[in-house]
Amino acid sequence: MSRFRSLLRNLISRHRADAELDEELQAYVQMLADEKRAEGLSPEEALRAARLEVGGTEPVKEQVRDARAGAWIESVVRDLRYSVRSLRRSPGFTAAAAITLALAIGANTALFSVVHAVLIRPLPYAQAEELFHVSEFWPHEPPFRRVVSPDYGQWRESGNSFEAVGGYGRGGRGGVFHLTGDGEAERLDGAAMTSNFLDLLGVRLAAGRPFLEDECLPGASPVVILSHGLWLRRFGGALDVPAKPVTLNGQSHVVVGVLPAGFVFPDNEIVPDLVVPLTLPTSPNWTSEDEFRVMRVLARVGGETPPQAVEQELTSLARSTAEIEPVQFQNMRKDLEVRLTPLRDHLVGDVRSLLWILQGAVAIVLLIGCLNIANLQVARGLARRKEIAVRAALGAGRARLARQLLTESLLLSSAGGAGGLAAGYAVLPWLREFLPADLQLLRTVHVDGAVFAFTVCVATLTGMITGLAPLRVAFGESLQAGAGGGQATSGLRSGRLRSALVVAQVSLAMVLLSASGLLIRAFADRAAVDPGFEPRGVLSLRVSLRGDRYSDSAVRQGFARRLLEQAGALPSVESVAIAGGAPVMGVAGAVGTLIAGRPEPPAGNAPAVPFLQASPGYFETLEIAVLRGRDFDSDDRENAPPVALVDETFAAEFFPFSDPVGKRIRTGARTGPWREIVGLVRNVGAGPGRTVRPQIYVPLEQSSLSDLVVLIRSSGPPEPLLRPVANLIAEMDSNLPVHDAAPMEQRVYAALSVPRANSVLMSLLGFVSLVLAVVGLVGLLSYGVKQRSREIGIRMALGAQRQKVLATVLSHGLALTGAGMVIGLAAAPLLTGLLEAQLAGTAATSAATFAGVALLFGVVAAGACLVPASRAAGISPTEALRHE
Amino acid sequence: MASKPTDLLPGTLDLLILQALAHGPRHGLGVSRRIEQITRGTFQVKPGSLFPALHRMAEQGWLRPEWGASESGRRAKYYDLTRSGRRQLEVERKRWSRVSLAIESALEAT
Repeated sequence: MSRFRSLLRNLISRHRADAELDEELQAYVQMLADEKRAEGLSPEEALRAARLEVGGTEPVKEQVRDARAGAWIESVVRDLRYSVRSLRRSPGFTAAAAITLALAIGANTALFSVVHAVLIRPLPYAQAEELFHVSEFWPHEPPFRRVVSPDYGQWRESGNSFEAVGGYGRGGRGGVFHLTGDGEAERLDGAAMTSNFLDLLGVRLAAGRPFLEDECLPGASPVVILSHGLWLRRFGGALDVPAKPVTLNGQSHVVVGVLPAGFVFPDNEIVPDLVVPLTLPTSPNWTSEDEFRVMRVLARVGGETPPQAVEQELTSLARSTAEIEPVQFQNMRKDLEVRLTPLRDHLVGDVRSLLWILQGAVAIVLLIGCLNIANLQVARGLARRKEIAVRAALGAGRARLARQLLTESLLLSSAGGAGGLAAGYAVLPWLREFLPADLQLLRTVHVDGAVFAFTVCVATLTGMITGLAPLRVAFGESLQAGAGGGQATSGLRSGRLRSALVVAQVSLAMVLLSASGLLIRAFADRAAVDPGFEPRGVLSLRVSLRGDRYSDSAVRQGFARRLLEQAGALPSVESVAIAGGAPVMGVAGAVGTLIAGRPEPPAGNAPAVPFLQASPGYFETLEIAVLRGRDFDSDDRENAPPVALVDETFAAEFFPFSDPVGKRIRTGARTGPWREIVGLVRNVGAGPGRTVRPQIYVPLEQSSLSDLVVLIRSSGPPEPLLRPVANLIAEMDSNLPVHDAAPMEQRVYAALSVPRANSVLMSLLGFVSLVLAVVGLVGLLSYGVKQRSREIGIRMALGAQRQKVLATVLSHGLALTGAGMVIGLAAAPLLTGLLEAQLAGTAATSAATFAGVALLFGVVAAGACLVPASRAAGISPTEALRHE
Repeated sequence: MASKPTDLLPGTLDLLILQALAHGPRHGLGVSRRIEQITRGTFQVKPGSLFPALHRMAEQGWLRPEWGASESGRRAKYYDLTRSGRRQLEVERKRWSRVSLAIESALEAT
């Protein structure tokens, strides 16, 4: 240890070590001079004589430095050479150990690079821990995650508990921009931001300037900031703002700036190619639709201020606007609350626990791998008892031997670490496939210095763990027993240590397998839940009817009718529907709902029920069963009697004792029409962990809708339909961008990505840990059989039955497995308790799963134990005895 | 007996330093004087070999260096034997007696 410290000292503070040495030598000279003075010389003469005798301190210092560095390097080189030689003597062990370590360390490295980028490294903004996502919500409603613009204005003007607020959104028509002009026309994703937004984030532009305050006012001349990627791709990338304006959605925009390379927009739903100003009205106004925006807001809160204080202020400011609002908003807003979420939580969401679980799991796999290698090392240590004992007798100190053995382990683990770095780099793209694609922070994942340092630490730790267990054996026994050269006595202590290592392995693997078993079940439960509709074969896309041309509802209805008609006529199209939303794609909104014949609740307290506009064909296209009554048809027009369909949950909640069909409801508590319920449909989107909310459907033509979801069922694969449908829409209006087009099946798949990643990756790790543990078990038994082959031979010569021998070895293996399984099962709930969030709906200590996992483990272990057991039973007494 | 100081035999310096420190810590000059004393002036250790050896042995963990005050009140670096230093002294002692025994018998065998 002191040697390590002195090495550190040499490396870290060369100067200090040198200064100390200097002082030490000066003291020597002075003391020599003191002696000479005592002999009668004058002080000057004494000093001169002393200096003469020493002959200059510089050469001495040089020699000391050489000795110091030399001693260290020499002994390290000697240890390394010895280790390489000893590892080369057992190439099989070396290769197996290095590969095991490389894979296990690689898994840790890959996961850590993700954990580091997503959960640990500061977000790529200035003082990112001060940034919060602000959202308004109602305690009994699903999360809104947005803010209405008048509240934002109010906060900006009157709030003072925070440093700044800034707003952003998608910009344009649902975030879609068409770039025309030079080169090919291109569809781009946009974002909008307030003038202070980049400043709020602390992001500096690569070129140009942020938006000015005036440019964010209604009617200002259009400006745009380009992303670095777009800038490189379309404008050559010389870092200078292009002088030429660009044409976006038919309007000329002046380019004022370019975002920096690698900029991550602080919202997973927005990945912009360009940014335009977020235009906000100058004064809050609730009455005109143009003056009222739904936006997203970030706040910067000074380090001292608790976020709760800011929440309180924002809430009371938002509620204070109630008087100036139209009456229909007032009640809705009186229980409004504002929530601040740390920006990282907003960006990371439930991936956080997934990542920590996986990191824990790969750490366990590495630990099992280490135990395996430690076990092999113990076996090798036993084989090398003689060598070690001889070396000890020749005068090698314990510390010296220990260092040599540790050097060997560290050499092995460094090889594993180097391989692990490469392996981690290689599996990283594969790992990313399993993580939610919209997680923007994944773009910042790199194998960087921190990841490298982590790998070095893990490799060193691994070397320590795999090196220390064999040390105990080497010193515990080899020194006394080894020199005697006895082979027949099998070391009791090493046997116990090795058994303990195997038991530990089995129990760790058991914990991991139990967790993966539960996760697989949770995933299977969720995937197996009938979603209530058939996603296969359905293409879905969005079209937004915005702008002057579509300000009239009749024009929008006409567009929808024509699109339904013409798309329905395309080849291989079975049915088409247009709606305000769809399962997995989100539903437009909720309305206060009244039931005819029941007492009317006080104003503003009518239950809000999700509400979806759907054209005829919606239920047919998604294959949602109509259980009673009828589907919408083409007669349900604007002037026809208002109707509605409701789902099973609605029926159960509002008509628990009667048939809802034929009843009347009012959608929109004060202003909405009374509608007759004409049919009852199946629930959609139910599943464990999801609260099913009631749902009302109304005919498309009896509502007003600007953002359309188009659903098309194909008789074949749905992807090829995209082009003809997009052409059809372009023919109707070339300025209407189609966006967010995807097969429905893909959306359903993506919605399950986190539980899928959980179960796939965890089963993989569980499987690996099972294999490693069983390999360790078989290794232990085989070694025991080999060591005791003479004893077994004698027993058999004395008449022991082969079955008896087989049973002895087998029962030894099963006893170890059993002990490990018991410990593992006892410990498993500790880990699976952490999984509760992932296991929504599945009991965290689900006994059946545990029993299944135990059975699997037992069968695999028993099968594997048969190998050494039958080898033992196959020992021929004559062969075994001839050895000695 | 005390004649001209002799150069050290290779491999004996460590033993002599360890032996010199066997009864308590000393600084560099003290070690050098002590060696002169216990070898009755046969061996004189020059700073050019003394200090490299002291530092090397300190790194090997046999000696523990520590700053202290000398008898004349100067700040000096003292060296003390560690436990492994004592063990090393035993090892070196045994080796030396083997070697010297061997040399002696070799010389007597003529």
